[in-house]
Amino acid sequence: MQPISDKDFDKFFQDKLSDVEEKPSKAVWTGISKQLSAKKKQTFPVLWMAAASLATVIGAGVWFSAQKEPMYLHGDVSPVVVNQNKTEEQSVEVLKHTDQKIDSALSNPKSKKYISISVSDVAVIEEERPSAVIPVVEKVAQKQQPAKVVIAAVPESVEEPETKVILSDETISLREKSDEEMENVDVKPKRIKSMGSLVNFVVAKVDKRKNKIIEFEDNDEGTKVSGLNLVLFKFQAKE
Amino acid sequence: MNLNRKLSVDDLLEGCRRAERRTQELLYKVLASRMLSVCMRYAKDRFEAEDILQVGFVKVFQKVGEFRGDGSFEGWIRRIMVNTAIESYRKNQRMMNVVDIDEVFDAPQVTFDMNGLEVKDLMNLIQSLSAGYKLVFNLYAIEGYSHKEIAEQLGITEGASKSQLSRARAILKEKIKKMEGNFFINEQSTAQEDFPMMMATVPLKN
Repeated sequence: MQPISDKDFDKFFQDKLSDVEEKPSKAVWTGISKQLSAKKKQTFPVLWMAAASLATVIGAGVWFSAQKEPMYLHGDVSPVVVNQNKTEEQSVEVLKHTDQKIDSALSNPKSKKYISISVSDVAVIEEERPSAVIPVVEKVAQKQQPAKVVIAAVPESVEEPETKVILSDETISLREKSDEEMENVDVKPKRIKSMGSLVNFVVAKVDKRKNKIIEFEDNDEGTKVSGLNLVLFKFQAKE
Repeated sequence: MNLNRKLSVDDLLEGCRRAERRTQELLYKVLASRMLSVCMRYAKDRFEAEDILQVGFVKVFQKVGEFRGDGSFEGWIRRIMVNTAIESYRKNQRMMNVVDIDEVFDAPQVTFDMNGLEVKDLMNLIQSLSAGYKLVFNLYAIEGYSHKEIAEQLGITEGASKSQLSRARAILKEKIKKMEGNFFINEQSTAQEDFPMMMATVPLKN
């Protein structure tokens, strides 16, 4: 008999061992199915979370479309002026000429005139002359309460207004019937004017389709659902 | 018979892709015995083999989506078992003796009658090898990997793979010779040709 070659030696093992069967114990399958179930449980909450967030979005849609509260329009000057407290009639008078005064004050650096206006007046100014007066208006509007504002030091030039706003404690006068009046002055920034637009924003981030899963539309009468796309059920309000 | 089984294994593929537990169990029942014998060759005992089998099948069911259908499904599963065995070897590597030169040093090239050896004997022989030899011999001789593939899989050089294989063969032959009670017909010392790297100690990396 010849010495066996490496190749034959390997092949001998291969032939004998490659088709062998050996029955495993039952514990092996039990272990496998346990591990597979454990993995499945991990993915389960994800489905639930998806379902819950969908329900939240739809719920929000129904809730806000049910609210028919009218939106107040911007830019109406007269009601604000009419609602002024009588004791402040003088400052209303001032208001009507405020623009001129501020303009003249801004354009004349040496003018030491003090301009006295009230906050609700300033809100009106915001509507009409946003570009020139904004630095003043914003600071005052943040206070959101009636106060007299004194514009003191005058800027060097109109392009770079460095107007200082002095809110002196003595000139701040609180008014009692402010609640009603504040409704007339819509201080909400435009970008989040309704929950509907907020939901639109969030949905747009998630849903890239042309027809979003839910879409809101703002109009004079409030916010309502303008589009639904639940794959099987679609709804689109006419433009 | 063989054809029938292959057909049924491929039929089970779709069910496994849908993660149907009953189909998974069917696949396991069809292939478990075969795959355990694969694992046995890489393990030191039956318990370790069953561990590898379990981990391997969990991987099969999790990764079945990645199976593209080039080659047979069974072959793919078999490769997963082998890879699982290699991973297991890597984990245990530090605890094992990688090289035992004395064992190899005096091994003569002998001829012997292997036909009397049973499958069980061969399995025991392979299992008795130390982990590194066992791995390389299994991969090269039985799985049919090239030295290049083995080197990549194990993170060693091709030369190391070749020398490990030579040593593994020498040890196996020596053991067979002993089993047969020194029954050998011809003793030809071709050691110099067959084991050029016998003296080199090239332990596996990592």
